[in-house]
Amino acid sequence: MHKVFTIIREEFKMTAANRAFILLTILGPFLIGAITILPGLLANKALNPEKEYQIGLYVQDQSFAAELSERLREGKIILRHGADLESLKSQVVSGELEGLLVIPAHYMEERIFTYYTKQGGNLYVTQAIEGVLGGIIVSKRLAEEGLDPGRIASLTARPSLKTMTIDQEGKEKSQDVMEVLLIALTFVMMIYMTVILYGQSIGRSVLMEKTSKTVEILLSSVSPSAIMFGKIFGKGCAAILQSGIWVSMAIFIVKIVGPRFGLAIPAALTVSNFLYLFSFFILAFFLYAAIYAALGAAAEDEQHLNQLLWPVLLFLIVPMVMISGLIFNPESSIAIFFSLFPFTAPLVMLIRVLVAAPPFLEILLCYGLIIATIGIIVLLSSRIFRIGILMTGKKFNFKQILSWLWR
Amino acid sequence: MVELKKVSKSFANVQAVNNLSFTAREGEIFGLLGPNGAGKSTTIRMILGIYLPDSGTIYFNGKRLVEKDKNRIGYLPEERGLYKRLKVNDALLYMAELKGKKRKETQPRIDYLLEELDLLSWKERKVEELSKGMSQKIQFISTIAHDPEIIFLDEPFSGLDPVSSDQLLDLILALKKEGKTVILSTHIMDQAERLCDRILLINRGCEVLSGSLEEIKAQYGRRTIKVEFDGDGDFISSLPQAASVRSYPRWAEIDLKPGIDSNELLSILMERVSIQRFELSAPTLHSIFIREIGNPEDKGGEPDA
Repeated sequence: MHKVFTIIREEFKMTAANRAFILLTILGPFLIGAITILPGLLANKALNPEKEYQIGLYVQDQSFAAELSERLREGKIILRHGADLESLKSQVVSGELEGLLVIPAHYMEERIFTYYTKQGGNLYVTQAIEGVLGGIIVSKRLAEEGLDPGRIASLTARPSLKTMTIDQEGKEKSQDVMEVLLIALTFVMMIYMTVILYGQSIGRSVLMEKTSKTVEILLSSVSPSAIMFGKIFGKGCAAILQSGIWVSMAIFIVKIVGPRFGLAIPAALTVSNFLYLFSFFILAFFLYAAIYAALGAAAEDEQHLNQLLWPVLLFLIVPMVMISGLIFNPESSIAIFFSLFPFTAPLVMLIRVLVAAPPFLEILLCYGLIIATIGIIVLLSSRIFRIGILMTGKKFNFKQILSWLWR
Repeated sequence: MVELKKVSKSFANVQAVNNLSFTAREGEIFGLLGPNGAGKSTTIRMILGIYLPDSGTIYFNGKRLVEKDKNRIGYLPEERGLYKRLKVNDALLYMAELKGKKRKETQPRIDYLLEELDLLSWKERKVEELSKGMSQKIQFISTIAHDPEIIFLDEPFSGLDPVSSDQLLDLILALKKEGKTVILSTHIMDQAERLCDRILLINRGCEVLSGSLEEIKAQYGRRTIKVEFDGDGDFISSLPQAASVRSYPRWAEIDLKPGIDSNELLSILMERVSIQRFELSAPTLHSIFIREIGNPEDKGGEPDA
């Protein structure tokens, strides 16, 4: 047992006392700071253009030109009126003008206007022109019919929904659906990336010890299971340390920095949600770490390891593919199934917890199932590890490797 | 003391070790010899408990080998592998710790061994900075840093320069003096001949011959001629009187065919080259090896599974 702790300590040191690890641990909070504050900032602030756009305008009606120019100037789009269409076009080609808008003579009847650019259109500019142009022409048409454009606009405005969350104490908070979606996506991405990153690092380190024959020296001192446990828990401690720092940093921003500086913190970023993120990450880590270690032991080289990992990665990819379905319908039977199926549970249950309020018993059941599966996987993985670590010179396929379980 | 009794091991369709028995005694250097793929590494791995034998038993000081006996064994595998990113001293302490030794206990011995092998100044450098020969010596230190009773050395000299080779040789002989059991596995017979008290020669998992070097050589009689000469000695390798020949530009070792007299050979040689030395002796281990198994360099390819 003492030797397992020795391996855990060394593996932890080798993982954590390393520049990449420290850099990522330091940069992580900035990343988290960005994702916690940015959505709010982005939602409140319109995307203002940074520079002025010089756009050519070819039109007969001078008053129409003046109205259009004035309205577009607010959006930093400057219209340059010209009488010669061909010279305007050549200015676009030479790059003096960003684009050229051509208004036909009978513009009130036209359905389609032409906008010339050198290469594609700047989306901001085209949308601004389209919006302003449409608004002016529709108002003119309504006025010609003797209708009040302002009155028509208020009559045809559709009501929209505002989402509020209430907790047990009756506190209400406004919750933007898009915001929740973004946060769920970020959380899931974080688990997905870190599990793969750490998993790869375990798999590769086992493989490296196997190919460099270090493992033979280790095996002359300790049992194969001790090596596997030592590796998984050593790297696991590093993962807990790193994500622990990140999560406490995030909670610090949400609870202390946010309120003090009056930042708009999305309502879904609660301490309990961060703790769910932390716990599901740790569970996902141990679930997949054992598999990565076993496959690292069974692989012949790095390419072979990646081939073997594909079927395993599918379990991590499925929730990513289903994510929008899960967010819009978190209580569907398929969502419930995947939130209890151990290999997808850490990701899917996390989404459900974020966007819905699954029964507490279900969450508990999910934890129980994942922990039980980790136990079984570690047991099976250590069997594969024990055999694989000494098998060299042949690339085994997944089926052959699974057959080692019965040897 | 290590004792193997009728130990066998097979993988899929390959019989790697077949009914092998031997004893390596305290305070002796025991040579486990054979061509590549003979089953040497498999045998060592079974003694170390990395593989379980299919049948037979392995005794360690008269008792069956258990997990904690691993602490009293040192193992230098043929292919070296230390943690490249660790510092030399940390790597050595880690390996000793895995053998159940406390860091403080091992440090003085590590320092002593580093000093003996001229590596003390490299103590705080990273393993990846070492040259091949240096990392080989560090690996050797890691094998004996925890002061084991039984030491397995798989091709310990491969890739070492003559000075380092001699330093290692002195350390191995010192281990023998301290009463340790050293099991040396090699296919380089000259080294085995210089170091080993007793040997076991195996091929395809089976024993070919075993015993002390004197006993074995006595069995073959004094039928080997060592000759040093000046002149063109190309013809020596095709002499009809020779059973086998190791021939070099100015030196040759010739095993006589049965019924051939050494004087007859001497007179043939005298006609064509100028003889500097002519000696009738027992065969070297190398020629015994070739006689029993064939040229070790021609063998191999078969992985040491």
